[in-house]
Amino acid sequence: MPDIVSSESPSTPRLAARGLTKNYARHAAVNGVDVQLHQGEVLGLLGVNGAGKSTTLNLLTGNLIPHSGTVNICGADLLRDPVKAKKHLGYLPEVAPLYPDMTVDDYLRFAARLHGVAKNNLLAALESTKARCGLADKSTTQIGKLSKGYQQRVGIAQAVIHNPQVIILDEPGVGLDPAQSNQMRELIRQLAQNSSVIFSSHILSDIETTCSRVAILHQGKIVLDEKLAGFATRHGTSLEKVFLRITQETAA
Amino acid sequence: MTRVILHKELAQMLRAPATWLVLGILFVLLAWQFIGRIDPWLALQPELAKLPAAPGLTESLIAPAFNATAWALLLLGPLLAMRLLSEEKHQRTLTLLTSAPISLRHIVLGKFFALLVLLCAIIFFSAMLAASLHLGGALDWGLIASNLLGLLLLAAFIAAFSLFVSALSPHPLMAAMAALLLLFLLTQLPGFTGDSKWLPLVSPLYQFEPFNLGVIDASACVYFALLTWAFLWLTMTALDRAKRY
Repeated sequence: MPDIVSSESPSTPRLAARGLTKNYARHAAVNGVDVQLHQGEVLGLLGVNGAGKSTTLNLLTGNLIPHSGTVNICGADLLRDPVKAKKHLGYLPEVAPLYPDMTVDDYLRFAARLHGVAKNNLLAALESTKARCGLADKSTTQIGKLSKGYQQRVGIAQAVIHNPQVIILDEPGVGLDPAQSNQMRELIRQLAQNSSVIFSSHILSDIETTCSRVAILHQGKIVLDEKLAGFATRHGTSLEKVFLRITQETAA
Repeated sequence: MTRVILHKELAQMLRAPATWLVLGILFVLLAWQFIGRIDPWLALQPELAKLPAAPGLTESLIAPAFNATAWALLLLGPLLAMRLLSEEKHQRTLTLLTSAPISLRHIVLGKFFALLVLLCAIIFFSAMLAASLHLGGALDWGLIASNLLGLLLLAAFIAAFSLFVSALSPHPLMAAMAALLLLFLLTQLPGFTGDSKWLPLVSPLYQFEPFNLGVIDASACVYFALLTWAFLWLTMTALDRAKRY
């Protein structure tokens, strides 16, 4: 497993969410969730379908307003000062927000301007992001004509083009073939060198090979949140077994 | 930031063949009905010349032409607006904008001005048609100016209203049809209500009438400005509420 994070995290987290609760109709989709993300960490949010992963990430990115709870990103309160907080944020939602009629360059340029990249830094940001995400030879291709794997890369590129401190990716590996999945993991590891990353998945191997910390979300609650290093020794069993036990206990 | 959104929307709309198709059809229709009025008017000219206060070129040709432009705006606004929010919801691209460090106000205003710019293309085209008559006679520039101001105010209202309807539905075609239907009903209200005093007041075309006749009506200016502001505010509220439920 890669050693991405140092064992000592700085005291102030890049992202801190407390007591997030979101109700749909009468049931709580997310119930009192706390999330902390420190510098250089890659946090894997693990959960079965419908566990509340996407709702949690939408709450962390200001796309949903919680019924209670707070989110603080790099010292800015997301609910009180969303514009300031979102400056530090890059987000790839569950469905990549791509305009099929735009070329990769046009789209990324727009994403960069939208995230406040200054005009004179635009070209450098564009080139370095394309290089990082393996899009250098797709500059003038229309997004709608790209394969699913490349589209997902464009989705990640828009989330990182402004070098945000916090990157949030919602199921970035969905729909990718094994080779593309590998490249995705490699890309996330690279991103973690400068940023802190949260990504959600229900694929255990994605989490095990990429993350420094794992949080298991089940029925809207965080039921486990700990470092992956030494996980098997502490629990005497693998992450998979622990995950299955948690999710099946309540299902039974 | 409003400008970043404005640029993106304009570029996207101008890239779409549908935009050019709709604009082209409306240009042809407007030009056609305009030219169609010229011949009958020339035929009547000997009779008209005998009248002591004969209606001028501008009154008899240009005012009806601008009235047709108002109808073209009513048609075009909803069709172009369906892309702006409804399609963004449908394609789930709105998240890109709402996750960025930019307020809803900038998103809505950027889209509103992009739509207004395209509606102004129709107004500009009509103004060119009107000005072409300058080749054949003297024009009443005051009447033309009041019409253009009226059309601009009407376009702003239509843009804001269509944008609001577009924000309500994730189905672009549904949004366009609903906005078209509602705007059409608003224009027909005076006809349905007979002598009612207040119902015609909510009809945008009724409010445009004084401008069409060469009167810059302050209360109509306030009417359009207030409604435009109200629907822009409602659009922002609709987008904000979507995050809360």
